[in-house]
Amino acid sequence: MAPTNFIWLSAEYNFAAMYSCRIPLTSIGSATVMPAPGPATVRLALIRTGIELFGIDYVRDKLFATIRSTKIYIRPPERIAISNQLIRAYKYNAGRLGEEDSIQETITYREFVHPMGTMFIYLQIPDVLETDLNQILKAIGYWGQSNSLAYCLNIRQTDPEPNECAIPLRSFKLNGSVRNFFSCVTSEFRDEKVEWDEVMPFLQATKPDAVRVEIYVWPMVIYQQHSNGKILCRGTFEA
Amino acid sequence: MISNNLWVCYEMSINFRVEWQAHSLSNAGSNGSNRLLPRRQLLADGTETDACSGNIAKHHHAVLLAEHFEAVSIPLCPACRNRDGRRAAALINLTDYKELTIERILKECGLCDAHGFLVTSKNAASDGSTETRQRLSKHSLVEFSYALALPGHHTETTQIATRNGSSKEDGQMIMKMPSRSGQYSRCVRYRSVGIGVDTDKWKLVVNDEEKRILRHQAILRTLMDSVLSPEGALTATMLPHLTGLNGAIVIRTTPGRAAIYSALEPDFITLLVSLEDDTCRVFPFTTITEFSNAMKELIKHSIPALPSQNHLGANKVSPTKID
Repeated sequence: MAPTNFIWLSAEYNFAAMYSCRIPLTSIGSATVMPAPGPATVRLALIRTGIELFGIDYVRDKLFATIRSTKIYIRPPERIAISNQLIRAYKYNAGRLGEEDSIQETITYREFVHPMGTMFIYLQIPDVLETDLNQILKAIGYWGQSNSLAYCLNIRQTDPEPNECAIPLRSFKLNGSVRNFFSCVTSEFRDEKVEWDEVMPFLQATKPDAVRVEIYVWPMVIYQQHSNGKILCRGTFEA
Repeated sequence: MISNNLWVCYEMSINFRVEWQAHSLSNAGSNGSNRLLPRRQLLADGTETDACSGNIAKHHHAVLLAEHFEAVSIPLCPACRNRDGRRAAALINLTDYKELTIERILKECGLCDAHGFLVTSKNAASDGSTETRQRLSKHSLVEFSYALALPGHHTETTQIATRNGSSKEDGQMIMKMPSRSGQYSRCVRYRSVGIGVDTDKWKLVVNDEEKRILRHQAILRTLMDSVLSPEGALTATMLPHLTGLNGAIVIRTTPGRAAIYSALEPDFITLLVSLEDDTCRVFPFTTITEFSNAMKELIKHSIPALPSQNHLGANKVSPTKID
């Protein structure tokens, strides 16, 4: 059997407007956001879009093993503005047996990001899957909420620049402190052996331990504070 | 892709700049009872600009779409007939809908199919006080971005209005209402391939092609109406003056995404036109007439694509043949 060759694919995304990728564990009623989607969001987007293009069977049997274990790097846009928006929402209360579920109209707060520049997603994949993953990456149309409209501008075989990408805090190699880089908890698949049935909610409820949270550091620092938000600029971890 | 003189539409996007004068289409609440606050958004270049949320645009699109569906006898579920924004989630308490399935929802309601819904899951309580419920959901097929005013191309005037207080003692109260004018950038994405489709499993549920086309035409007609006759908050007394419209409609004919690009960028139409190829058609427009004509052409000559797996055959997955 021929040894597997791995390649890096980089996909460049332009956000058409604003986007909102909620930090895990933050309240839905007052959601704070991260500068770009986390690794679990990328893997779930690959699965979701793969099903759209190729069907459940093909994604489960041929692609899932790669998607759950591929190395991912995420490079956020060059500059972003995060501001808070007040939104009307429904608050849902599940009724007990014999009682009706009730809905209450309420207001929530959610942060939104307006970006300047494009976002890159880097995946390390077996070269035999390049065509499939290329098509899937090209067809991903949003990140985070489904109205976070995005469009893939191009896909290339390019190595990532880890110093400009989000990394887990535990692998942060700088001798000094993490300075004022933006950090937050981010979700990631539990491990490389997580099962299909654990992560696909339409087959059964997602098991709580299929996804874990981990602190990630983003190569972004706060550049300006405004009354209604803040501006973050991308730097490098070496700087 | 053209099939029997009909355009197969997998997905479309409308990227446009629109000029609204003296409106208050979307607001961010009030500071109590005497000042209504306009919605604002901070941009990455540090400017704060006027904004109108996509939520309110989607809400009004849904209400108008329900009217279009009723006009052409496309069925609606009891919740959507009553314009209940919860859509299928409002059915779970009805006796006839205890055994709710995605197939039943998509077949029996065009609005749940087009604008999506979420029936949350529920675990059974150990004491038997609650029953288990399976999660059912569908993403919306129509997505609206925020409308963002072009920096330097918007202004606001505070209008003094009077209103009655909640009690007789309050008498007449003064209220400040913002009246805004400007040129706004907005994007809309419509995934026509998802009509009558369970988009979690990408399984075609509404098999009747004519029914899918009717739903598709109604969605397009409503999109056209929404752009040409803006709706939102406070239109009863501040119906906006529409004074300009330009942009581009992008049609994707094969599986994948229709290009979408912010109209905040000055060259957005040129950029979108440069993406045109065999799988992507672009219709630029510079007036409301050109936009209206392009939409009428699409209503007349486009049909929603089938999910890619239906082209390939259920058990014959050939990913390399796509696109």
